[in-house]
Amino acid sequence: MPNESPDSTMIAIDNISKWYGPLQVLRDVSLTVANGEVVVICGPSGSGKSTLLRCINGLEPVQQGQIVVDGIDVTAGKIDINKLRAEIGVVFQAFNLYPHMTVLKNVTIAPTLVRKIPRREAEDTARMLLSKVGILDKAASYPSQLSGGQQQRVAIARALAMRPKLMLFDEPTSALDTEMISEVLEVMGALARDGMTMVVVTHEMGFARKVAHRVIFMSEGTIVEEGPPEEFFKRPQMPRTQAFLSKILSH
Amino acid sequence: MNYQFNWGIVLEYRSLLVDGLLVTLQLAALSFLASILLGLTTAIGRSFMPTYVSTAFTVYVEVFRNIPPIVQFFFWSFAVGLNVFPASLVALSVFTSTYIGEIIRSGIASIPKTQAEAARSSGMPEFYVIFYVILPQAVIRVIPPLSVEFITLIKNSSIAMTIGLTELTFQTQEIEARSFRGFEAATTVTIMYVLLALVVVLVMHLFEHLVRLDIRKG
Repeated sequence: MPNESPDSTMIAIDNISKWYGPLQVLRDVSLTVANGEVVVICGPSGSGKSTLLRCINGLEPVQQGQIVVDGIDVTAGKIDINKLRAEIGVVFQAFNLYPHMTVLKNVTIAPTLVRKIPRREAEDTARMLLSKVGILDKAASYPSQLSGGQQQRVAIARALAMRPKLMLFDEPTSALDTEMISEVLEVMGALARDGMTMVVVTHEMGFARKVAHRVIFMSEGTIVEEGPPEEFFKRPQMPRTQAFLSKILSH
Repeated sequence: MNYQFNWGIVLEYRSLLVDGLLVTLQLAALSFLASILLGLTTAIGRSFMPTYVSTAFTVYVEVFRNIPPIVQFFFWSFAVGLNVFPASLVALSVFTSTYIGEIIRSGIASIPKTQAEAARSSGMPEFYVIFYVILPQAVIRVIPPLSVEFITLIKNSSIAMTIGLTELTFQTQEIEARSFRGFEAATTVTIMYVLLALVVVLVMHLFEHLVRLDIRKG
C-alpha cells in the first residue's frame, strides 16, 4: 500500500451539492482528507453521510462541485472510473459478499480480474489477508455459512486485496449483533494503525474516540461541525452537535 | 366404441417414428442453444445497456412474444422464403428466446443492486460485473421457470409440421394416411413427447443440484 508523504491530500471535496430529484441531500459540502488520516463521519439518518461516502468513489453522481481523489477528478466527465475504484476499497453495511463464491474466491476475484494478478499469487495474498482478519480457517466456506461479523471481516479482506490507497466504510457494524461489533472494529483499528487512509461512517463513538484523527458531524446534508475526537466529544460547539451527542452517548 | 386396436402398426411404421424423433430432437436441440444465446442477449441488453439499446431489445421481445408461434413459422417459411428446417429453427428459436430472455431478465432484476455496487466498487469493468457476479446468480435462480420453457420448446417444435417439416407429429399424419391407424400413432407419439419432457426435467433437476450446491450450503 504505497503511501505518499504524510501531508499530501487524498480526498478533496469542494462545495458539492447533490439532489435526488427535487430533494437536496448534500448542501455545499466541503471536506479534505489527508493521506493516512482516519476520518469518522457521524450524524442522524438522512443527514447525507452515506451519500457523501458513495460520491467519493463515483457510485453516486453530484450535480455541483468537485471531488478529487488521489489527484483524479471523480466529477469530471470522461475519466476511467474503474482505475480509480481499484484504488478505493469499500466496505458496506450489508457486507455484499458474492454468495455464489467461496470466501477465498470472494477475496481473489477482483485482483485476478482487475489487476490481472495470477491466481496463485492472488490466493497467497488472500490467505495472508484472511489470516490478518482472523478468518483463514473459513477460506473454503461460503458466505451463507458465516456469521455477520465473519462476513464483514471477509469483506474487509476483500477490499484490502486490491491494495487500495483509501478505504471507505459505510456503517460497517450497523448490521451486526453487539458481540460481533468489536471483532470488526478491532480489524479496522489495526488497519488505521498501519497508516491506511480511512473514511468511516459509523455510530460507534468509542471507535471514533480511540482511532479517528478527526470526527465530522453531518445533519441535513451539511457538515455541522468537525474536529479532533477529544475536542469534538468534550467541547461540541454547535447546539445540533450537542443534541446529537447527548442522545447517542446516553446509552 | 367399435374400434379394433392394432398396436402392431406402430411396430410396422417404427422407422417413420424414429425419423420423426430424430428431426424433432435436432430441431429442439439447436433451437435450445439458439434461444438461450438470443435470450441471454436480450436479457443483458435490457438490464445493462443504455436506453437506445435496451429499447431495441424490448421491441424485439414484444414483437416475437405476442405473435402466435404458428404465424411466426408461416412468416419465416412463406414470407421470408426460408427452407423448411431453417424456417422452423429460426421461428422456434426467436419465439422461445423472448420467453427465456424475460425469465433471465427477471432473474437479473432479483439480484440486489448492492451486488453490482460491490463489484463496481472494486474497479471491475461492467463485463465482469455482468458475467462473473450477476449472471451466475441470476441464472441459478431461474432454473425452474427455464425448465418449463424448454419443455414448451419441445412441444412447440410440433408446429413445424404445418410448414412441412417431417418431425414427430408430422409422422402421425403419415402413419394415418398409410394405415388409417391414427389413434395408435398419435398415442405412441404422445407418450414419446412425455418421455422427452421427462428427460428435460431430469437433466434440469440434476443441473440445478449440481450448481446449487454452491449457494445451498449452510
